[in-house]
Amino acid sequence: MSASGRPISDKILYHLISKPQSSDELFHSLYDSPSAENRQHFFALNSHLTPQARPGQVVFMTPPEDLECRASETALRETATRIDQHTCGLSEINAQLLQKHYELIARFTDYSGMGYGLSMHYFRVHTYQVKTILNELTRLYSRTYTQHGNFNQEAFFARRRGLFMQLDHVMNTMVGHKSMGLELDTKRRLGISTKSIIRKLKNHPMPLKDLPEFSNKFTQVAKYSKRLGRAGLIGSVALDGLHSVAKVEEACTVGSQRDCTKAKFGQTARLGGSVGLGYFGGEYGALGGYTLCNLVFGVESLGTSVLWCGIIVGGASGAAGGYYGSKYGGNAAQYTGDIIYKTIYRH
Amino acid sequence: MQTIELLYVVITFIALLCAFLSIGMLFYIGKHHVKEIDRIIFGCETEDDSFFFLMLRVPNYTLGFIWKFYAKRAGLLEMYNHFDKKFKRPFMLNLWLSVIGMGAFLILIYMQKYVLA
Repeated sequence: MSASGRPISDKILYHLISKPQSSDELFHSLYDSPSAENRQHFFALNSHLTPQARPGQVVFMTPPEDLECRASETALRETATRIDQHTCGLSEINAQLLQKHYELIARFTDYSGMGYGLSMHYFRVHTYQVKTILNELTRLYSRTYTQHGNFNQEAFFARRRGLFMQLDHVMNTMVGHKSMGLELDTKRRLGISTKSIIRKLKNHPMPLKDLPEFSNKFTQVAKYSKRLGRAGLIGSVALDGLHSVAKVEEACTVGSQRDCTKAKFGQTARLGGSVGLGYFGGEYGALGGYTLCNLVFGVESLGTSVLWCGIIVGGASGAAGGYYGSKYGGNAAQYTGDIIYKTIYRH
Repeated sequence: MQTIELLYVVITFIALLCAFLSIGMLFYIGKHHVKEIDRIIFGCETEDDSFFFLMLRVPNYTLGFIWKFYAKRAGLLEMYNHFDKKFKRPFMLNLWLSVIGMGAFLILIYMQKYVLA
C-alpha cells in the first residue's frame, strides 16, 4: 500500500546511520532495554538493512502496535530502499556530517553561490566560537583552582554562568533546537536511547507532502553534505558555475538551437552577477549588522563585541546579504546576457 | 539596442568590473595588510583567515579607519591612530570599488524591475 497523499504520522521516527556497524549494534544503540517485540518489529520495518549497516542508510522507528503507522510501513520500506540506492557512495565523514547537521544542510540546499559559501562560513565560525568558549571554561577552572585551591568562589560561579549562557546562545543560533533531534523526555517515554540522534519525520526541515517525497529530499540533502566539506570560495563559485552549466545543457538538450545560444549568454552573465552581487551583498550585509551591533554594544560596554557582533550578527547578516545578492545579482546580469543575445542575433 | 538597454549593459559591466576588482583587492589586503592590523590590535594573527572572514573584517577595519567614533566603539582606536595614509589607501580603494559596484547593482535591479519591465 502506498503512502502517497497520506498525512505523515507524528509517531514515525528516523535515524541516519553515520558509521559502519552491525545491525545488532545499531539496534542496541537506538533502544534502551528493548523487548523481543521491539526487535522483531524494528527488523521487519527495516528489511533493507543487511547484517552490516553502512553510513548514509536510514532506519525508521514506529511503535509496534500503532495502526496508523502500520498502514505506512510498506511505504517506509520502499522509501528506505530508494534512499539506499541513492546514498550508496556516501563516506563515513559525510554521513556523520549529515547525521549531526541534517536540518542545517537541508536549509542550505536552497542557497547558491556566494550565499552558500557565506552560510558555510557562518557555521564554521560558530564552531570556532564554541571551541573558544570551551577553552575559556577550562582556563577558568584551572585559574580558580590554582589561585584559591577550591571552586567555592562567587566570582567563579558568576563567570561560569556567563560562559554557559554564551555557549547556550551560540549553540542555539548555530543549530536551532530541532537539530538535536527528539527531546530527552520523549526519548525516555519511548524507551529510546538518550544518546542517539533520532528525528521525527513530521518535523522534517523541508515540508513533506507524503512519504515518497522524503527519499527525494533526503537524497538532495545527502548530495549537499558531500559538497559541504569542499566548499570554500572556489567551491561556492563552482557550485554557481555548475548551476549555469546545467541550465545551458538543459536548454541545449530540450530546447531549440536558439534557446541553447540564448541560455549560453544569459547563464554566463548570471554567473558573473551572482558572484558579484553575492559578494557585495555578503560584505555589506556583514558590515551593516556588525557596525550596528558594534555601535550599540561596543567594546566599552561588554567587551564581547568581536564575539557577538562579528560572529553572530555579522555572520548572519552577511549570509543573508550574500544569499539575496546572489539571487538578485544573477537575475539582473542574466537580463544583460539576454539583451546582448537579442542584439547580436536580432531575435 | 535601445539607449536604455545600452545603458543597462554598460552599468552591468561597471558593476561586474568593480566586483571582481574588489574581490582581488580583498585578497591583496588580506595577504598584506590584515595580518599587520591583527598584530597591532590582538597581538597575534587571527586563526581564521578565510576569504569569507576577510569579507567581514576588511570593511570593518575600513570603517574604523574613516570614522573615529566607530573605531572607538569597536575597539579599533589603536589601529586608527597607528597606521599612515599609505597603509590605508588599499582599504579606501576597496571601499570605493564596493560602493560603486554595489550602487551599480542596485541601479540594475531598479532598472530591470521598473524601467525595462
